Amino acid sequence: MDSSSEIRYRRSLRRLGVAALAAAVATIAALTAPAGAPAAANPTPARISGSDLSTSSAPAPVRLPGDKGVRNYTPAQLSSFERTGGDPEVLAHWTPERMKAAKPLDAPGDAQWVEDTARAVASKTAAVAAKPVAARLSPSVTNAPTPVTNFSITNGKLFIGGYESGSWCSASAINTASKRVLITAGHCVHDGQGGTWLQNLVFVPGYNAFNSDHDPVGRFQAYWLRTFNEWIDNSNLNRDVGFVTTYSGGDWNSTVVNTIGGHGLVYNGGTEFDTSIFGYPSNRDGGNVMWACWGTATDNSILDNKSKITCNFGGGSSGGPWTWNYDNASGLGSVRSVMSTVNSAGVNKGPYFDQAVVDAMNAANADW
Amino acid sequence: MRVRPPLPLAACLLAVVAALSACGSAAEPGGDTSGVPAPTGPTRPGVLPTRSDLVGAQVVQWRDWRSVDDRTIEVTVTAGPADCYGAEPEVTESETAVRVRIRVGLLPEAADKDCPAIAKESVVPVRLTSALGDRKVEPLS
Repeated sequence: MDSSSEIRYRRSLRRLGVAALAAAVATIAALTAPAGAPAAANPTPARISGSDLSTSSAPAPVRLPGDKGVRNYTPAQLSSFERTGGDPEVLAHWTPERMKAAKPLDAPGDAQWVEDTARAVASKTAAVAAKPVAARLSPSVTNAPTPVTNFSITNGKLFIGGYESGSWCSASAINTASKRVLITAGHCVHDGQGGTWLQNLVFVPGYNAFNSDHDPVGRFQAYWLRTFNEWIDNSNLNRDVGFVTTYSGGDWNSTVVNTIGGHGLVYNGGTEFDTSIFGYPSNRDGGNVMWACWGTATDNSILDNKSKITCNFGGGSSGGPWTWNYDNASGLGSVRSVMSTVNSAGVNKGPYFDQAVVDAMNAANADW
Repeated sequence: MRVRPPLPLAACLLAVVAALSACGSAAEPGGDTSGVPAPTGPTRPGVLPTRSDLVGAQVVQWRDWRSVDDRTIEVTVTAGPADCYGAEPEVTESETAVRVRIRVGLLPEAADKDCPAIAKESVVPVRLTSALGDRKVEPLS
């Protein structure tokens, strides 16, 4: 973990490969608990806003051009997709030819990576809801190139509207028992108040359009979506957290966590923490490659439950993990918030993780 | 599933003691509103409002276009949410081609707003001075 408070950024030039996976396996023993987090962290009552802490869920809607509506699957089909990794027609439809580079919307002014003024806010120790885990695939079945960076394919691009469509967010895998859960922003699974569930979500770990192989370990189609009612009903950004349960998929037709590893998740900590953030902002290389930003997130306001950091990550970075105790060797950390918003000053904000987020994660885990 | 737990209220009341303002968002109306996930169905890309007073507008590469009627085409771009961002199209027409450039920028009323950082495929309506006919549609460079 970069302990400096200076905010820096870089982009990934290479993708994580076999050596990093091996390194991750080797170092997993040291990761049984995030360093510095007392195992018996005493959760203190969170500052709760948003009175409806329950979540809602829906099967991930699927519709291809030419379909009259959303596809309805029989239980037998769903069971078959478990073997095939999703609806073959959906997976086949979205080819690279259907993509032309979506040119980014650049936020006004390329913000300096400024050092946030630390505020005297709670710096509580976070409690652990999920521990990071390395990928379970044996190195012998991987053929990714030797990595030279610490960028992690535990993070990826979440296409909305099918693979390589012009709408997207960012997401990462969380180590839950089902090994199938991604965490992202609520607005990446549902429009919010007055809106609908989003369609045709496809997660691509370590997506990189600058390589000949855009999807280094394949794709994972969404099976189930989940977010807070407070987001669905009121577009409350304090509850802008979403979960996506995925089919088995990828190049080895395995679960997402067994393929790319899974971050942990911590909650009830302070709103100020050192963080490493990953995502696909459209104002950085057109969202074609993973970027990271790291530094100290600070408390946004006594008026809400958010942290903030000036990364100037624009559209498409939503849902990307704000990891805590990120480990360069393993590419794993613990998610403590997710990217939610950006403003014209380049300030990004993310919601506070309390018990309700853990409950939502556990509900998502039970969606499979 | 939609039953409101008593805890938030208690926490809110406690928070009043420490910081009155902490209850601000908890008191947002609509907490009682129940709802189910909205029915899903066919969707179209949203329409970006066309404006000439955008903040920090920049040229974006458009992906695709389609004819809406004789004198209107819709051009597809990736931008942020339509309640934060707008588009300003620029068109030059010749006998053989229609050339289109799209600028996207923040709506003035969203300049100080926190906007969801999603990348959304959206369409921008572009009016032509004469019927499109057989003319090509291409980027204006």
